Amino acid sequence: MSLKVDKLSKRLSSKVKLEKISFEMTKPGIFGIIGESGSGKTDLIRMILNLIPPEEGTVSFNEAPIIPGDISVGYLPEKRGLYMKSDVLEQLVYFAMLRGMNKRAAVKSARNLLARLGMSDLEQVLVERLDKDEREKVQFLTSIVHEPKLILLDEPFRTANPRVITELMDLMKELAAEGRYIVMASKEIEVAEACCENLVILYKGKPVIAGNLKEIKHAYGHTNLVLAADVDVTDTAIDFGMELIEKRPLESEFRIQGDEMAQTLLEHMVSQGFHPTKYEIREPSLQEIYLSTIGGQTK
Amino acid sequence: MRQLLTIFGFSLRRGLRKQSFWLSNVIMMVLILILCLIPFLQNLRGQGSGEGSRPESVTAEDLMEAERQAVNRVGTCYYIDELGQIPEGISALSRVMPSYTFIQGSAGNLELYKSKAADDGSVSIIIVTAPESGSTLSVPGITIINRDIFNGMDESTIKDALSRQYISHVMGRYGAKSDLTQLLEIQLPTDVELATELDMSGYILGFAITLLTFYVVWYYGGTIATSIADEKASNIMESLVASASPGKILWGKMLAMEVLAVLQFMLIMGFGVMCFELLVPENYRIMGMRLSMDMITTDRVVMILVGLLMGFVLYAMMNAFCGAAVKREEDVHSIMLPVGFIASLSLLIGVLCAIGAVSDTSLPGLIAGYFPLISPFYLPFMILKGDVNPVSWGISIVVMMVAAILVAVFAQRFYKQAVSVGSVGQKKGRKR
Repeated sequence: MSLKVDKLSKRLSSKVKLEKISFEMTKPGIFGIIGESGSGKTDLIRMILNLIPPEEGTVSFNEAPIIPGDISVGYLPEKRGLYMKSDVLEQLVYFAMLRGMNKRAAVKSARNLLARLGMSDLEQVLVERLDKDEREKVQFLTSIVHEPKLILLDEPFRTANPRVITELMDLMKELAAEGRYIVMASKEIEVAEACCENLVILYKGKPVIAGNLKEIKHAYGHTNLVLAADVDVTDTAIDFGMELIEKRPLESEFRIQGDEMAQTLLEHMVSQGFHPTKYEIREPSLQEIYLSTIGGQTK
Repeated sequence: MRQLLTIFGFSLRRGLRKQSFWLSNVIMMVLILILCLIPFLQNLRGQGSGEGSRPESVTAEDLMEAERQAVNRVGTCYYIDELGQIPEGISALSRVMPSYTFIQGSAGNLELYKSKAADDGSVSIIIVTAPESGSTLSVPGITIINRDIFNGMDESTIKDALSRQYISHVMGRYGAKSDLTQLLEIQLPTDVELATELDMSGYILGFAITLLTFYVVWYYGGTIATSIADEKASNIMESLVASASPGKILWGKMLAMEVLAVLQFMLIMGFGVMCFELLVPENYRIMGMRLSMDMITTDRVVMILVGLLMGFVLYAMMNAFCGAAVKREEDVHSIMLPVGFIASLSLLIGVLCAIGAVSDTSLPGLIAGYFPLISPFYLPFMILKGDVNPVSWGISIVVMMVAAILVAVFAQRFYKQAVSVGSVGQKKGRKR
């Protein structure tokens, strides 16, 4: 079983054209489609689902084209919508049955999922009485209640509530571990970094970064040093040739030209009697990689 | 099919849960109960059939007299005969129309009399005109001026009275004896009997059921439009079209609304029949005319229901088109105006043709009976009056079915276009 997207292209507007987007998921997991607003993420998701036709390219799941309404596919659209006057369980069962599940299985699956998210007591509650976070969770569940193999999620973490984001992210990871293929479109690069093994980052319809996240970051090497100490060492670090990336309340992050530079600073600090409370050499964040990449594109 | 049934079941349950559905049923039933309680209470107070002292048969003369008394209680007529061509014309008219006051008028004041007649429907003018030149008979003419077609004096009565008076006068001039001329004033005694007893039930029930048909067709058709607009506005549509084809979504909704419409129709009609049977005394009469439910037979109910189903599909698909054409629920009522206008006009034409008892083969009858937008509001009336043969009914139903299918094909295509998920980028491009 695999998802294959091959050279999908479509002119979206006078300024944006999705150009030859290709990727493949050969095993279950979470694939991220990341980009700013207007980069073409939603249209890409819709083309994968066969809701809008591409101008070029093909999509196949399990070596067959995807048909809207297929029970093996789940979809969470960017524009959320629920029936306000229906209760939670009825709504989930409805969407499950629309996808071909029989009623008994749909009820069982809906109840299981509600229990997983701690929402069993909301089964009979009308959607209009739920708060925003609860509605986000219910909407999420409508895309997976029929136990699809392929799940496409457009902005699943729109809610700003960190607790809900964590719950949904954990659920996604569980689903991936159960053997589901999940494709997630999001503006949140940090979120993608937290849960996607593989990804593609779009900028104005073009893929600017693509591949395995670990490999992408390794390719940049260790370029960042996160440092915290009882005294402010910013000036000292700059004197040693480091570039300040960000000064945070409890720590600072610097760009280094290799591990040796960081080591030299550490030796100097120790010799001066300063002991850092945090000293971490790491790869650049995906956000930094993205910004440095499109920085070149916008010039 | 499974998806269609899923959508049908969900839409039906949502409709059955609506407070408005049950509230409207209850209100209608209460109104029916009150209407049926009136004769029941009359009966309890010992008024029997309410109008039992009336004779079994009503003659045509009684009806004319009643009509005359009802319409012409007080009237004034200006009589103008400048040349005296019909001597004692006023007397002749006063004998046959005693409720009118006849005033000898002059031609010079005609415009004044006309303005009075224009202001007051009880004022009329009779002018005896000179014989037409070149006419072989050389008899005077009569001109009657009434305010409008609904007010004024009866032409045939005036013509009859003045004609006999004129002939009597001419015969007298030619030397006919008075007992001969008096013969002209005699009217042979006439009695009208009816082969069947006039039953108003067909008219009353036909009118009530036609109105009920209009209500369910209009209301539930409109519900489809608002449901579609609501789904579009609340963004549920993308989840739906990713799960099921637009055609199945549309038909699933429509079938659910149709079941609700028929259910409400049958509830109200059934309750009405039950109240009538339990509360209204047997042989109850209104203005001497019997009221009964004898015309409600199984085959007629089936014919009415089939007509309702076809009419509903037709109007529902037109309303689906309206719902798909808007982006916000609040815009639905504006866009439904043309359909509402068509439905109201069709109701009016259907009822007028049915009450007016136009012939099936006349142009109005053919239009009302076979034009698919009008026939849902014409057939129930005619069926309950017993004026529709199965073949004509069958043809009407087939025509409605064909029209409904054509409109459905068009509406489905439009709905599919309207709800299909477009490119976000292209939509934004269009806005620019």
